[in-house]
Amino acid sequence: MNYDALNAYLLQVFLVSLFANIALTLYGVFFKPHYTKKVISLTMLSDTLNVFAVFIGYRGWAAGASPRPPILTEAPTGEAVSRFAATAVDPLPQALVLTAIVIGLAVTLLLAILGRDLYRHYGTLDMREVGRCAARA
Amino acid sequence: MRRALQVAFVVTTVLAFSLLAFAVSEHLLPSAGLRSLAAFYLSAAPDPQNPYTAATPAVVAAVLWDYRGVDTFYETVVLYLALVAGVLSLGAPKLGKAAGGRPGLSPIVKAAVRVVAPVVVSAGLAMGLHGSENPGGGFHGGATIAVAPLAVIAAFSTTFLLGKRVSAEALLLLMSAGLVGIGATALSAFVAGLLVGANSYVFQNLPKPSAPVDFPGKVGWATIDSLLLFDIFELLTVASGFTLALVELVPPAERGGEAR
Repeated sequence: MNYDALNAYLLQVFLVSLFANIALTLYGVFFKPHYTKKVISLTMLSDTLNVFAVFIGYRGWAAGASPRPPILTEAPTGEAVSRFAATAVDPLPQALVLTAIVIGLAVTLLLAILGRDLYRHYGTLDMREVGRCAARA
Repeated sequence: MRRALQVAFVVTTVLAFSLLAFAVSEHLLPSAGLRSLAAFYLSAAPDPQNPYTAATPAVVAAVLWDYRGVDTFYETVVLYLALVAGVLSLGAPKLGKAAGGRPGLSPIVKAAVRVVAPVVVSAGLAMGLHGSENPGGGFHGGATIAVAPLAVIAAFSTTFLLGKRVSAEALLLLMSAGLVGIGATALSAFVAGLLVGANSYVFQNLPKPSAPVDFPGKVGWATIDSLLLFDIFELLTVASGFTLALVELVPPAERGGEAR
């Protein structure tokens, strides 16, 4: 069986599904009228882009060795570290994604607080209604 | 018409991204090789013989708190400032007078939460404290621990949590202590270097060829390095911060909820 072709095909399927997710979440952010659904779409968009970043750090299958997580699971001898460096995936995107997740949470928190203030002020989270109320004011 | 435009937007976006991916697929699809920076991290971090070692098998933890520690510090500051802004915007929730009425969820759910919540906290602590050598870390552990107050709020109410002396002020104090701990750990090797007149860096973990001041690294079987301290303080910051966010966003019920 041609594993290289299968690997490339599955990665392409994965990529296209990420793009579909990006499009759907952008649709939610732009076209869904309810504030909460916009925020949910935004967090899903953020998560999709984080998965995309981890994908960038993935590595193709070398001959006879599948990619490993960037954690050494044996004693750190010179040979073990060389073998580890030859098969582990890039750790940098994973570390940056962790940073992005925390900052995304901070943004979501502020959006949640803003939503609460919006509801207190206008009595609705339907952005069409909020827009009409703001135009009247 | 509007619906057709929306569907066209989704289809066009997917096709545009797919076309872009096809055009650059040679660079986008992962190759068997690694970028030189990644190769450096993977070779240096776990190897005790390497002069730039972080002495940890978890390379992501080494990147987070050793090689790129300043990024992580400012990320924690962003979370802290967002929560402070939330407290300033909403005001600290006060323990109201518990009224009768809805007593929270059913006794079965409450009993389950009483059993599960300590287990969740234990799992979060284990995840955070072993983060410098295993998958996990301070953020993961803190986020896991915050699930326990979330379950308590869902099953009992915020009033119940505030009745257990979990106040916004105390949580903010814990968060601040965690952030100060991260800052103090980041500066400790640098200050020690100034005191002994040796070259040293902010966020220095283990000795570097040009900077001999360092944390002990290993003392017997125990790991004593800055990664462990950072994970502990990050766990404290994240667990108390998320709990504070929950307490802020789910205010005590005006009716219902039990105080004990």
